[in-house]
Amino acid sequence: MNLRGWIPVRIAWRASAPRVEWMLLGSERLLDPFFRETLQRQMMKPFHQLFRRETGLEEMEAWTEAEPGAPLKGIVYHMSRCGSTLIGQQLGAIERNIVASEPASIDDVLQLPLKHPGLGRAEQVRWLRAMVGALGQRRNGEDALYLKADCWQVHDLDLMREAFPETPWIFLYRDPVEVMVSQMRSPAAWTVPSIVHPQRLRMEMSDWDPRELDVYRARALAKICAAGLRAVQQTEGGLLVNYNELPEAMYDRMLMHFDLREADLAAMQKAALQNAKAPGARFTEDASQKQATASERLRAVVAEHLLPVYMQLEAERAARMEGADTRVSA
Amino acid sequence: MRGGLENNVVPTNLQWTRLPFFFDPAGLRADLECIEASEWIAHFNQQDYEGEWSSVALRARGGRANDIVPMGGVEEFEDTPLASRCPHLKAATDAFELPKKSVRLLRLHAGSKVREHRDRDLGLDRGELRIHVPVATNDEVEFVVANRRLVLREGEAWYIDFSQPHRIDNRGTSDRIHLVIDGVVNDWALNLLERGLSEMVTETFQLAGVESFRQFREIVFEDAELQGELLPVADRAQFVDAVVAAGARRGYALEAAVVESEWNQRHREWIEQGMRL
Repeated sequence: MNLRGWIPVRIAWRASAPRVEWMLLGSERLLDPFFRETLQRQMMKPFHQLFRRETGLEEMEAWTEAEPGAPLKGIVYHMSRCGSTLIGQQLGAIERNIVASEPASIDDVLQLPLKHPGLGRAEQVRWLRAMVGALGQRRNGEDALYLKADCWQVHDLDLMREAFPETPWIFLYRDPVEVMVSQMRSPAAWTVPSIVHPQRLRMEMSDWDPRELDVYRARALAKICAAGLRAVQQTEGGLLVNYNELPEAMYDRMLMHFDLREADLAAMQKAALQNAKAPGARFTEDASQKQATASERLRAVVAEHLLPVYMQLEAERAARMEGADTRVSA
Repeated sequence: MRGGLENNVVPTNLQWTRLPFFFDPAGLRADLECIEASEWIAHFNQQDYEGEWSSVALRARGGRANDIVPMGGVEEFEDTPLASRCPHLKAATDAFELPKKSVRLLRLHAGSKVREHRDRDLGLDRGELRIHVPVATNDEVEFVVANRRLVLREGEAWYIDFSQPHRIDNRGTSDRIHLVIDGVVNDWALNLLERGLSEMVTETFQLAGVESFRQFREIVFEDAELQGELLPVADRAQFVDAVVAAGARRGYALEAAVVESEWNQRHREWIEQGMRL
């Protein structure tokens, strides 16, 4: 089976068996801030309705063994609204990179057990490797794949490590007041349980209360931060980055971590001048403006649910940077 | 009534079944002679057909023979004067012991077609069912429901779920005229469907065009040249034409209606499986 130019877009369920759906992307690079935007734009073409392909896991594995994708050289985990899209755009500005930004196909693999409780972990790891391999297809001779995860996927970091033990990752976070202000202004889809199951956020269905969405959101974000903190303490290959270190951290700490080159700096710096989620508009630092509009209620919710874990993340990051400095000077 | 559906052997998603009735085709046809050419009204759904598609009502809201819109409450419907002029059609209608709404003759003229569409307001789960009794038809009528060809013969009675995608192409030289009875589901109707399912053989046929399209699709999947040719076509109608033309060049006789129907089906699946936002 020749799947050259075809990219897996999601898992569809046929007669209660998972099947991979593929779309022809040809040589089109994934340059939109989000994978789904590329898909939505593509889906306007009548071709993609009539000519989508479907395969099982075995065919996807066979394909990725025959035509290995670019190696996965980095994963961006994050707490949302904290610059991960900017990092994705910077990585994508380098022509030899493929950036898969929150692709549904990966999330579909991660949530397979929800729909398919009998699925063993080993099989899920096979799915993950094959899906990443297929997303990394070198359609333009690229040599690295980067994955920007959905914010809740830090909870599945162990699984990802099992599939890709060598791949470095970062956990990106931000002052929670600013994240919450952004979430209030334009709530994320994951606050709706029918879109993202509370279990994926390590929440309970009973935690969801439409009258107190801010609390649900804050608690879910706190769990994401706690998972990022725990992962960096207990797992290899991780790096903590605060939004307020961007974009400069991209040019030193992350440069090495993600196996980038000095020669890539110019392209990344150019990308940093753009507003990541609205290419064409300039990126503007908006921390102080977000701080200024935070309500009393929001600050109280943040103080109760998010501030403690944020302080822990900051302490951990400081300790690690100090450790790194010591090592360098020793 | 509706509640009966849950513990009945009739599935709410029943696609179709022949019903245990047969009406004398000669009698039904004889009634057609009593209808003046001027009494036929062009069908209101003018977007969905090409050619001529007309109708006349034997039962309608307020008993008006020229009211061919099948919508309304069951109590609004009365027999039209036409019903008393057409005794065979009236007898066939009365054979169905369920509260009736609209009863019409639907006429698809020779050479005309109704494009694929779904009547979403119909369905057993809405407590309504539609019965077809072919009065005049011909062998060249291609009637396709959910991608299967159904062959309805004069005098037979059929239940079909028209919320499924369906299309009709009258490629023959005579008109296709069906008696179409809309009724409200009651216990009698459920029992009728049950009997249809257990007593009648309901044959449906694979469309030759579907198989050739599927073979051609496999070719497109691995042929970069065809992909490069078809991918850029932005307009849907032009795209269907381009697929048919590309198929012809590769030796596949594709039908536009089949390509369109496959397109609709895959598009529906894409939407129904849902993209996470």
